[in-house]
Amino acid sequence: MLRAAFRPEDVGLLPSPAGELALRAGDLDRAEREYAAAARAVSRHLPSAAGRARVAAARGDRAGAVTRYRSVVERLPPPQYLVEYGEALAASGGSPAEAWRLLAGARRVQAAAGVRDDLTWAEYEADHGDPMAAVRHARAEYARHPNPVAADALAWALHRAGVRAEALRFSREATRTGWRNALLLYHRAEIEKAAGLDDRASRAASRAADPRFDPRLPALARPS
Amino acid sequence: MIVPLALADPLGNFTVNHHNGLRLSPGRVANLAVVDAAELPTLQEQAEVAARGPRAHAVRRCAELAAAQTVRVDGRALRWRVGAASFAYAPGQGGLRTSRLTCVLSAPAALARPGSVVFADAYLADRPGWQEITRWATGYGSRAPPCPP
Repeated sequence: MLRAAFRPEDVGLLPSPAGELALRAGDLDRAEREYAAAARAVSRHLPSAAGRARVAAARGDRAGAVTRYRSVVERLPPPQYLVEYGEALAASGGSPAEAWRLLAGARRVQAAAGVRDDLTWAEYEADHGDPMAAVRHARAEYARHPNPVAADALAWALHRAGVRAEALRFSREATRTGWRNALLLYHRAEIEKAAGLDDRASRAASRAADPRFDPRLPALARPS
Repeated sequence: MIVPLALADPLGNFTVNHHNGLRLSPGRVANLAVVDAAELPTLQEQAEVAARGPRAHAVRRCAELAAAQTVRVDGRALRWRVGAASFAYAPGQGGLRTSRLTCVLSAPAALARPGSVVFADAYLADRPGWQEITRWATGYGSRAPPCPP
């Protein structure tokens, strides 16, 4: 892809998605190289700085991930980066309070600007906040977009809120396409376990989909 | 959700915007530097402002801004002297606040004759936002160029 790119911005545009693909495929060395190439091509290239934070988090380099995410959100604090930063902080034994405070601010300006992002808030509330609020957001998201990601968000919110039967139904719906996604399969395993069912198949499928998947860093594993 | 969309919509709420109003006169260069921070960068800095107090905060930030700017007259670098410095909040979206840093800077310069003035501002340049530079000249006769080319 790089050979077709001429201007620095083009070089910067390409390796970032290339890094993203490598990261999703679990090839962390390649992802790091692609992001580094983008950073060299375009000074202060934010997506590749965020990409390198993700690579550090995926490697299990907790201190490195926190440092990198912090320098990213100091420049630009959109919700996705803030959730990943907060989870990296918590996973490293620190307090995510600062990230959640900024996230609340970002949420207020988004709402005031008329942006609806029920999926983000369903996932955030289920993992770190109020499960009932998560269910409300997830139902709204699922009503508009009844896809596997929304079904998973709704299943996980219901699980957190203790609504087991319905959680199981939506988790099965989310995973029935055969999509090998570690987070969705991990959610299904947890939901099956809570329902007293055999969770071994789902758990094994989650590990097979991504051996490095860390349940403390769900945002990193999100397909969106 | 995809990052670029999330960023693109209310990106304005995440920006730090810069204005530099340069004023050239025969004996000096002055700059009215204004840094407008939108809701999120303002929120990020809020605790620091509260701890330091708005006046001390403005003095400190203006010193950082002055150090991050480059101004050269005929190739010679000038050093800004920081005059008035102020920091103020304004109501923003969603019940949040925006903030404005204002710095009055000046430096003696030999600009009685035509010469070159080069200006660059690297203050918080790695944060998204717009950058505006204006220039005007005072104290020159009608036959002199309005400002050096």
